Amino acid sequence: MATVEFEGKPMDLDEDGFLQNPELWSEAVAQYFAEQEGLGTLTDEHWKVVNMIRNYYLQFGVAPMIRKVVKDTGFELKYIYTLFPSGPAKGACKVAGLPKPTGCV
Amino acid sequence: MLMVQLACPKCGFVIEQYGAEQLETDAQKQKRYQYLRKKQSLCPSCLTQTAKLEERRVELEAPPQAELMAEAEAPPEARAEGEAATPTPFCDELERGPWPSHVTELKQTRYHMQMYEEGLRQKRTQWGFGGYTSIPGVASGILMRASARPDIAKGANLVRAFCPSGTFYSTKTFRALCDVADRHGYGILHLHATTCDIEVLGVPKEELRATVDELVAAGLDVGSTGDAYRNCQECIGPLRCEMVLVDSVAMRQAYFTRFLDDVQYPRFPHKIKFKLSGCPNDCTRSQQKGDIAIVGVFRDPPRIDEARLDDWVKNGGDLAHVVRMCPTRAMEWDGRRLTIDADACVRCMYCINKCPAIRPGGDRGVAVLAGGKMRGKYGPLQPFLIAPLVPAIPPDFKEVFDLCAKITDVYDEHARRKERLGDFIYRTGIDEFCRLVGVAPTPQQMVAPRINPFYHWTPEELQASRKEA
Repeated sequence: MATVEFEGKPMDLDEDGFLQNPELWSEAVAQYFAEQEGLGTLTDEHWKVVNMIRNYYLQFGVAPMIRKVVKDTGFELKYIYTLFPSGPAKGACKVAGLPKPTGCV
Repeated sequence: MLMVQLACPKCGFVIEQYGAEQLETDAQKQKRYQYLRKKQSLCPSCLTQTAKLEERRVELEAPPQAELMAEAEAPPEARAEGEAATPTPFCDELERGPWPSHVTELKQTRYHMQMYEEGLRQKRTQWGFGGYTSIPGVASGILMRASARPDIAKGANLVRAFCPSGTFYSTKTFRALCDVADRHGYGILHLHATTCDIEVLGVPKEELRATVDELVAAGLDVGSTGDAYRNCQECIGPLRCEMVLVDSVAMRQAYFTRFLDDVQYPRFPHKIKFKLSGCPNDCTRSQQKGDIAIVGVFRDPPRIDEARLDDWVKNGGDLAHVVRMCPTRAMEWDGRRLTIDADACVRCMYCINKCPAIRPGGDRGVAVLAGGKMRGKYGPLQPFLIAPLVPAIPPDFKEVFDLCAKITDVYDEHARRKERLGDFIYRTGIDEFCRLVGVAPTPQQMVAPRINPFYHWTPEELQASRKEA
């Protein structure tokens, strides 16, 4: 459990570094998480995955299943792993500001 | 310092632990503590029962961090010696007797014998829950096991790799594998675990990446955990067996050539286990264990070698008994001539196993079955026969694996999260599932997929069991 200061506002993170309050998310926050994950500057392809996950989450309130991500973005799963080395659940969901997804992936 | 522990009342596993003053000052901790108390949950391994959480207040003397740090810094050899010095009477008991003992083996490694000793003393394992984990760059292939007794040993990770087809190793590969296990793990290999994997046990978290890299350098692939295709277990097939109908070893090779990405990157609702058997004897128990089972089958009736049959009968072969025991009464033997009724024969392999003069017929291929499993929502299920005979054409076995890919695509598209393939078929129904996969319904899907009575007690064994009763 940690609280970080971002642009003057405090942000609560859980023990794995996931954002506790999804409303605080913004593109700058995503870039901050990406640097934490060691991804550097986010490219258009990163954004495509992040936005898809974000929109799905806002619409349905849960993280999308991996099949959905693969289908909607059109990327192969292997390619998503090269974009986000810790995987779509741990890496991409963190950047997209979702709470930690349940499950093993 | 005073610690507050929330422990599972059944097994004593400490679910959460807080400093007493932390609980008064830290609002988040307080909230979690209240939540857990209210929920009254058990530890993951005891979840099936409900009882009140046990609240303990214990004095811990030294700050735990310092202890753990010291343990981590001590070289592995020193750790092993220190443990060997503590007596292990329960384990020693298992070293007596004429059999080779697993305890003797374990004592030569860096395995925490005290964990086993405590487990034997308390009659329950001291290891905690386990699960899959991943590190950046390695999506699948790493499992973790927590320790319920952090005072004896911390949790352990293990790395899974695939064995080469047919489970044949060159000694060179095997030496490289042993070196990796010695360098990073306890020095134990768990070979050909339930899904035919190599498991390197006891790898610390910070050495996982190096272990994976070294295994890959030794020519082995890491994977087969999580919600992915799992390692494909195959029978030894044409390399040593006379019964085999299709080249099961080549088929496994083709499986990895085609599906390696699916094995290493989990994307399905739940795990999908593959098993391959070369003939209906089904030595890999594919129909009981595999979500997708591929079994070699033949369509023509069994072939009879008349000359050889005469020889066999002359040398004391009891053909009348074989005929009598045919499960579908498809054989007829008048003392001179043997006939097999092709319509009644279910190709169970009984007579073929018993009599060397009867051999499998032609027109061979594989049957593809889906949905066998032991656990899951609806309990153990026998698989459903999806296609009774698919041609198996080397080198890539395209027809077979196209059908498998179609089955798993349908599963991926329609199943719920964490629903096994068998549960999914059971829920939707076999007719709907066949429509989704695009195979025509056939009568063979409705009959029992395997009738093989090739399991017998000898008269002596039966006599002995009656005496005991």
